[in-house]
Amino acid sequence: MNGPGTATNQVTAPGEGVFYVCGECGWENKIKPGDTIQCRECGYRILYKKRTRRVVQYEAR
Amino acid sequence: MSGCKSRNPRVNILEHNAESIKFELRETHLSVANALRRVMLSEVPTLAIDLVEIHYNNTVLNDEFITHRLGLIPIVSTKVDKFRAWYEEDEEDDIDEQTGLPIDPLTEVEFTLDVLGRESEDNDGEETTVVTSNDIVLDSLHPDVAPINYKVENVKPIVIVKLRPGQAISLKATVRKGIGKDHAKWNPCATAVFRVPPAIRVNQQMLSGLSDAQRQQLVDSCPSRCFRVNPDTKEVEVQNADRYTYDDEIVRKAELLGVGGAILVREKPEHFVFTVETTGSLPPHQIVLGALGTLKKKLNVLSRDTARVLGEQNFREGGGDGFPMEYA
Amino acid sequence: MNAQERYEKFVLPDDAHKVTVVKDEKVENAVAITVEREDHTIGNLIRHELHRDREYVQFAGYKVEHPLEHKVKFQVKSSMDRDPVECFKDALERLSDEMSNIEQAIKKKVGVD
Repeated sequence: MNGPGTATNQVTAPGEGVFYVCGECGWENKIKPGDTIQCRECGYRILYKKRTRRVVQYEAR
Repeated sequence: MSGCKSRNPRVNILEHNAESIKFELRETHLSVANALRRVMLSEVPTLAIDLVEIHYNNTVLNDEFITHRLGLIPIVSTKVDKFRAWYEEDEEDDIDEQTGLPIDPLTEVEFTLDVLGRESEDNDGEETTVVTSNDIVLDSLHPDVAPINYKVENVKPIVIVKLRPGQAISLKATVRKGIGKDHAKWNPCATAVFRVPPAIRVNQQMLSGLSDAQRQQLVDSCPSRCFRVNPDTKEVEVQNADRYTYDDEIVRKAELLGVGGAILVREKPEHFVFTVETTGSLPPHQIVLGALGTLKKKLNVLSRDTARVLGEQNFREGGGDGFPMEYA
Repeated sequence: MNAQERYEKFVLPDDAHKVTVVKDEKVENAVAITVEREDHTIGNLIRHELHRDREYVQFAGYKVEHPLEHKVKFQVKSSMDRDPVECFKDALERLSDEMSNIEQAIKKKVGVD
């Protein structure tokens, strides 16, 4: 069953690295698999994932 | 044929403007009035945004929130008859006169919305960008399908979301035909109600023994102020009978004062006063006409299928000459 | 998980008939008519119209047995000189005419913008 939001698919394994946003300073950190989870600017250890680039579809209900 | 003739009710328009219509319906049964009311609320087709594709959103409101709000924006639905809902069967398609080929029925219209929050204060010193129904970009092929009061001077548009500098929203929205039963966004009525006006009889003879103070007490007991003491004749009389809501307080007060039965309240039989207010998606008289049309369609569909059943019955029982009856 | 789709209230599945008729075994000239994907709007309307036919209709009632099953059941019994299903169809036609009458009355009074 489809959930409330459906996205078009373009899947790639994150070997290249994904950008995560630091919780304190807002810097966009590029993190690769195996990297330590830490902001490169300020050292804060809580990083947030960015919103997907995929186009999402919803029913207006 | 049948045991009685069909009714021919009377209609009187009391008030009629762009927002609402108030009319009397007489000489018909309560079930008819109620069926009409129910259909106005839940089965009159309208247009509304039904599918939203979000391309970018870093607003304070999340995707679903914005999508929900978009769905609730009333869309001008005067052309809704040209549309066909996904569950509607293909009746005879219209044929284009020039090409002789059937015209594909219209099912969807696409809006877009793309706004980027302004970077700095505008002339009024406002940093916040307000995204409204006026920011919606219509479908160029169907410019008459638009949110209500679209870009109308001096009319405030519907606010969708507010943006700070750097925030943006980008989406595509699909408008589809639907009915209130499916989702309330397709309900064209702000309200659709009817009341039964009262027939009030005041027995002046029975009240003749009451003092002025008692008369005033009687009149004051009615919370809807439907009665007054005539300053000249000192009689208790009815004013504004259509404000009466059948609380019957005055009837009770009359009993307490020892004149029970002096004031008789009854419902006027087969008399209904409708008040229908629109959200703007359809003009009020079109809501009523749409409801009547929808009810007729339902009844005719049932009539057709009942005829089919009758035909099959006869066929099975070898009715008459043994030939199958025509399907109506 | 168990939630029905909203459209189940009014969309007839391809394999279903809108109207089904079953003869009553115990009562003479009586039928049970099932109408799919309708509700009290039409149920109450038809029931009262059936009652107006005092010549042929002897019994008429409707029910929506369960709020999650979107169908209306009618019970109609008529006198021996008319088929109850015919009485039902007559009621439908009378109602359709009545709606047309109201429609015309409104159109006339409003002036058909």
